[in-house]
Amino acid sequence: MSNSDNTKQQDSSQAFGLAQGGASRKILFHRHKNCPFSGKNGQKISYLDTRTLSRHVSERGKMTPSRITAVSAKKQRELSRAIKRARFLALMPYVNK
Amino acid sequence: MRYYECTVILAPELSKQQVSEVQTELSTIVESFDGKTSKHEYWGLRSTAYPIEKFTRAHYIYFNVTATTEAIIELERKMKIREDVLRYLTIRVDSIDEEPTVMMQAKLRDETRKEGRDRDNNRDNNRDKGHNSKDTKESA
Repeated sequence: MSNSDNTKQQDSSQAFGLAQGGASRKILFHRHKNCPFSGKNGQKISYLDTRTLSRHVSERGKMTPSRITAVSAKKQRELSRAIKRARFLALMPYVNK
Repeated sequence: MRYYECTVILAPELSKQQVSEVQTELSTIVESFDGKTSKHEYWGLRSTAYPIEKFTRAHYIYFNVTATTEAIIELERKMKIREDVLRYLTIRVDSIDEEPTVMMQAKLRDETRKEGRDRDNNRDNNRDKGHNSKDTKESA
């Protein structure tokens, strides 16, 4: 009696584990985001365009990593240069307290 | 000859006229080296993202330069000496874009929107007036 209960519990826990694995895999394949600056219709990066640049910094004013925003490596370099220029011109803050 | 973009931040105490004087002075420096400036823009007295030399607002001017390196060196040397220039940024670009910059576009858009709003307000007021007069007629 107690034995069968145990096995049941194990089964259920295993099933739960599987479900978790499935969920995480789902997130992995969730979506394929494209770089918003690459390609023919890509937006141009300018150090004067604070509206676009501010979309790529956190609330604190730190740059968001490209692994989150899916910006390509080349464009991320361009973007970081633009943000630094905008900061120097006091168009964007270095830190947002 | 090379192309450059130049943004200059000026002290807020300057009047609008003084700002344009500075702008012409900077252009004459470039012209003395056979260079030329174009696309002069004045973005207005903007609030800065952080205080610069204890100022929280500053005049922003922007212009394109087509000139040799010597002209740019001299331009930057002169700006370093000037006390009303808080900061400047000169960037070499491959080509000059004749379109107004994003800043200027935003400024122009704001102005037209303001005009539009004023017009709408006037229209609304007129309509309200018309409505009222109708009401009064009906009541009479």
